[in-house]
Amino acid sequence: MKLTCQRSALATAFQTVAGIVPARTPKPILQNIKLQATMEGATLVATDSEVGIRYRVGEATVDAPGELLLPKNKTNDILREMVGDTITLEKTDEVLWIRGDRAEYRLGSEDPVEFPNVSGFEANEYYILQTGALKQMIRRTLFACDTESTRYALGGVLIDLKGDVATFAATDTRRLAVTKCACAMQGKVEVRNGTPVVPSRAMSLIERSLGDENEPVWIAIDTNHLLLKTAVTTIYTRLVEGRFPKYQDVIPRHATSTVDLVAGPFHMAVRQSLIVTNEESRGVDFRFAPGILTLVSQAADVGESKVELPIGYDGPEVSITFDPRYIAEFLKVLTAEQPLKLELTNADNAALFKTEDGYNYVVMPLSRDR
Amino acid sequence: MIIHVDMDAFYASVEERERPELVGRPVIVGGTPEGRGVVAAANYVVRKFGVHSAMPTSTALRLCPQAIVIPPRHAFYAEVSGQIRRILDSYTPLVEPLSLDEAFVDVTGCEPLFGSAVKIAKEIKHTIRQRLRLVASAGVAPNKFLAKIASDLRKPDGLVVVEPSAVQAFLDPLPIGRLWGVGRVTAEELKRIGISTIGQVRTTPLPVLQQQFGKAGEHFWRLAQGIDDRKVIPDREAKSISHETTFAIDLTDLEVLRAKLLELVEQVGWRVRQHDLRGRTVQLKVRFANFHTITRETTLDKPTNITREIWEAATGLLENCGLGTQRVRLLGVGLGGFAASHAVQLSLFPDEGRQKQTQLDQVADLIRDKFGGKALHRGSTIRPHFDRPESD
Repeated sequence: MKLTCQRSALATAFQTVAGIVPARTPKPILQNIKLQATMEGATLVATDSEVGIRYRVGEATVDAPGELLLPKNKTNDILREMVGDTITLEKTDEVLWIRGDRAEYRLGSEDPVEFPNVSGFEANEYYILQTGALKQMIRRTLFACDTESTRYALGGVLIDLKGDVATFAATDTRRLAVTKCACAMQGKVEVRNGTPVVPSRAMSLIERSLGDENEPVWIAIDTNHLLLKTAVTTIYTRLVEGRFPKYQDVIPRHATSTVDLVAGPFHMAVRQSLIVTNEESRGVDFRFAPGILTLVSQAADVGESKVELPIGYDGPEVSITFDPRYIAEFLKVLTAEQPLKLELTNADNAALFKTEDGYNYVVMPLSRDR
Repeated sequence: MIIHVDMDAFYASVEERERPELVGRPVIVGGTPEGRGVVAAANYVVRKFGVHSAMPTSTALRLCPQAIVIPPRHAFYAEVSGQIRRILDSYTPLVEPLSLDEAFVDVTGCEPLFGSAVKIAKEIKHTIRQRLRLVASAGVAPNKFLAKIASDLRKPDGLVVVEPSAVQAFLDPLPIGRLWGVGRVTAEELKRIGISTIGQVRTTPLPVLQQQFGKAGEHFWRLAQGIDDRKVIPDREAKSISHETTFAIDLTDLEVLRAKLLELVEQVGWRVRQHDLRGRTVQLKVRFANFHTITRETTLDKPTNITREIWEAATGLLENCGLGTQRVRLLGVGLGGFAASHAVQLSLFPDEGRQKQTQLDQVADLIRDKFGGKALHRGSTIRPHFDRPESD
């Protein structure tokens, strides 16, 4: 086989799929990336057996169709160091040639037949989301996953597609992120029982491989896997096995105090208070008083800090202790001017952060006594 | 100066105080012979017959058939112990209780306020007698090791003072069994190389002892010089809380060791919970028959005071420390790395498993508070061949 393409287009595609190539694996063949060339174009394929990706290389000219395996590390180095706009890849017998303007590489290449198959998107009934909305949904939930949980299937994002609403949720049992967006159905999608949880690895791969904000994304979910397709990529992932906790039950519904905040300034105050915390004493006291929020932190062997922030609040004084990292991680995924509401009950119960576009973030406080 | 306060025949004395008709008669506080009980405490009358604590009650009754056996009332002794503690606390916060009936008190710097250490020791004894109608012995010395020996020398109602200038004269004539860490086996080994008094340990060249006993050799040698740098640490300031035990017979069976370890963990867990602490670091100490001692530690995901969680970490350490077929002489377990604040991250979804373990510990602690430390055991610590030589 032989093909010629833009070096930058190949490098972009290569780096996207390389993210899923395992660093250590009992199957060394998975440390390759498969290049498939047909008369329609070229596609890169990578998998770690749990998650797989097919990614179209833009503007490729196929001179002779066929398949070959690119060793991940060497090819990556070549694409990074080579100069010139175009690049030619050719396989003759067992030898792989990579040629650029003034450089030529000859690499050993394994047999592509040994490379596991990565499913393509074949569903006729599926959900359609918009790329921009999907990206935001992932950013707003992915950080709250817990890949080390043994009690629940928390190592991923719960994807709940029903009718015209898509809900994503993620939790590590200490905080919970839930967000929604509009979606559409193609055909009559069968409503599945249970709640599909997509591994966090796959979610970050999806986020990285999504392109144009306005493009549609197709999602089809089967009993134990999910397939996603855009104009350039198809991603296959196994679902996380196990139980996701009943997250709806822990979203507080009867708050007694509501505080108006703006993400940017609030984030800045939390970052300031984070300076004087350490592993042992991570708690920061959030004291809400009319017109003013005071963040007080104390850490043995470090010191103390007090940070004030004017806020829109005129209720009774409320004090609650949070791990400030949980608050900072949430604020980081919002734009600086995003207004939000914080709903509180008391120092021992979950607090709820809400945005106008339906993003809910629930955080459990730290308790002082027990 | 350090004062070691040690109550004389504590349980038995408390019983005598409550029931004056017992005074002058042989009294054993402990389990019944039918229940294969052991002597928890013996008054001085019955001690003359050779009865001592930890002896099976049946043996004690053979030595002194007329002895009166009283079941122990641990909750009541704990209450009295608290009253003693308050007397000690009135002099200094530096009080380190060792058990219900003994404590170290560091009175360094208290002299301008209360007078000399000797005067304070006399006052403590007097106050305990006046207020509680109980008798304590006290040892006054420059360090813990000497104070503890001193309190024991003239029991009952003793007061022995070791002035810093008289340490050698005090220690030299004492038998080696008085050295902290020297038990029957070590004493015999020392005697084999011609050492039977602490003075002889002091004059033995350090390398000789090190060759024979390793690190412990240096420890014995330093003690014999009267050197002991351990500070009096109130439990609430302790960096770690630990328990260790030296076995009567060296052990090799992993299952037996695991069970012994669980007993120790139970005690550590109880004490940690008493002080409302939670620790992240679990330490294991193993001393082999040849005195080679290893320590291992592991850090938990989150601070705990749950017996089961401490135990899981401790058994993990035990199984991975390469015991092989080596004979184990001593086992110790500790919990440290206490969380600086009591702030605990709450969970959105209650961890049913962890909650159950916490409840289990609370109930167990209540039972132990009421009926004593030995009132309740986990099934896996009960093994029929525990304190007998292993047959194979």
